[in-house]
Amino acid sequence: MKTTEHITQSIITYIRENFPRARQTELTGEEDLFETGIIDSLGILSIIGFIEEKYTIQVNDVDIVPEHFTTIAAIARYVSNASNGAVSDGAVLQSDTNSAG
Amino acid sequence: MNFHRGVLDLHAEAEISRIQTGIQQQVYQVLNKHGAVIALSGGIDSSVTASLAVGALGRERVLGLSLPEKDSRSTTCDLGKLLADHLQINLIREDITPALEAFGCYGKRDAAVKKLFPEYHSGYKMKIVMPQDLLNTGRLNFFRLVIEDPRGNQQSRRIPPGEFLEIVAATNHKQRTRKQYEYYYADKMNYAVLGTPNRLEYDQGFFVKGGDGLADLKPIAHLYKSQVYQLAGQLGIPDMILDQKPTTDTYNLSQTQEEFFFALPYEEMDLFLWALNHAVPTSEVASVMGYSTHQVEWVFADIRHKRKVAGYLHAPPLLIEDIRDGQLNHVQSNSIIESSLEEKNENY
Repeated sequence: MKTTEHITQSIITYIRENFPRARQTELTGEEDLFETGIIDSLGILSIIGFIEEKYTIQVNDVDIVPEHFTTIAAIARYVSNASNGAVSDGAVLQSDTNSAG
Repeated sequence: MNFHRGVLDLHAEAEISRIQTGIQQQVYQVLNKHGAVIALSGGIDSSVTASLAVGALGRERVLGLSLPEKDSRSTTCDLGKLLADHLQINLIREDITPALEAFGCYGKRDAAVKKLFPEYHSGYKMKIVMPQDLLNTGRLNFFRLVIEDPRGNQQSRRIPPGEFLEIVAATNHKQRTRKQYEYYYADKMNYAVLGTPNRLEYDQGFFVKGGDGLADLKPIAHLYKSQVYQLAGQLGIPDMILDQKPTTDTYNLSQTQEEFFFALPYEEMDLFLWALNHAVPTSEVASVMGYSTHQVEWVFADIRHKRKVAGYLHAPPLLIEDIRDGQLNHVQSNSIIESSLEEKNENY
């Protein structure tokens, strides 16, 4: 089982490799990823895609809130909880296709 | 500054006069052009901009363009013509569909959509939306793709970044192609191109760089959307245009600006933006607008996040070395005009 520290390091590596503004920034895991301009709405989709694939979880729309995605540490806690099954309603394996009608 | 629901009320007649004086000075003196070209979408912003230009330059020096494509609402051309007839200005219609087909706009967009919905074909419609629960959850911005089959059944799915970029890159051809036509006629007639963003759009980056974001002059960019409506009333813009709900007119499935970008009705977003611009305390905003402080903070955060992206959209080409001295003094003179306008705007 991955620890939160492992997950944090993995996310830092991913962000460093995929977000240009993070390449020359020392990431502690606690900085606000939006206020620093490292990620935006497109970046959110990218990070969600990464954690869904790497940790075999599915993030539902209701979980895409600042509490879970503003900092790397928050994302790591979210992934850790989801991996352990102790998650909010959204982070479970379920269909991502909703009716919009 | 005291914050209340009437902070955006303005003296419409005086503001019209001020903008028209600005248009005259900038088109004739700064830009050295004979008149103005304006693309008429049938919406409130382009209608007000055209009406202001007619008052400033005269109807014989304003050219309206109607630039529909196959995904445009049927009302786009009708309302553009209604406005042109109302203002008694020349209107040229150019269907940009063939140009977009040549660029591969529709084919590339549809190919990206099919990656998420293999059943999608030419009989379907589509749009991109944001979740509409900002005030309930504080959710971050992300996008869903919505498709509708020929029988009206809809499905939606969150868009992975690759497909999102493919769809946006393809559909941005629409705004950039329209701008090509605007500058074609502007070059041909030695006219200036007038852009039509209001303050919400300009501030938060609701435009395509090199597309609808490109213009020689943006006469209403300092006005909140509510103020644009106030001017529209004073200018006598036809009711059929005033009654239209603001749309993007980008995708073939009906889509409001709230769904795609702003998340809140413009009347509310205007007030939030004004409050943020004037550093009104969160508690005061909450009290006046009837929301919780958490909700106000969520909206302020949403505005700040969008401004981060807007910074890139507004940025001129970057230079390694500043060369504004000497041969580019004309650029500085334009900046002075802009600074002057920004200072005036702060008075609102």
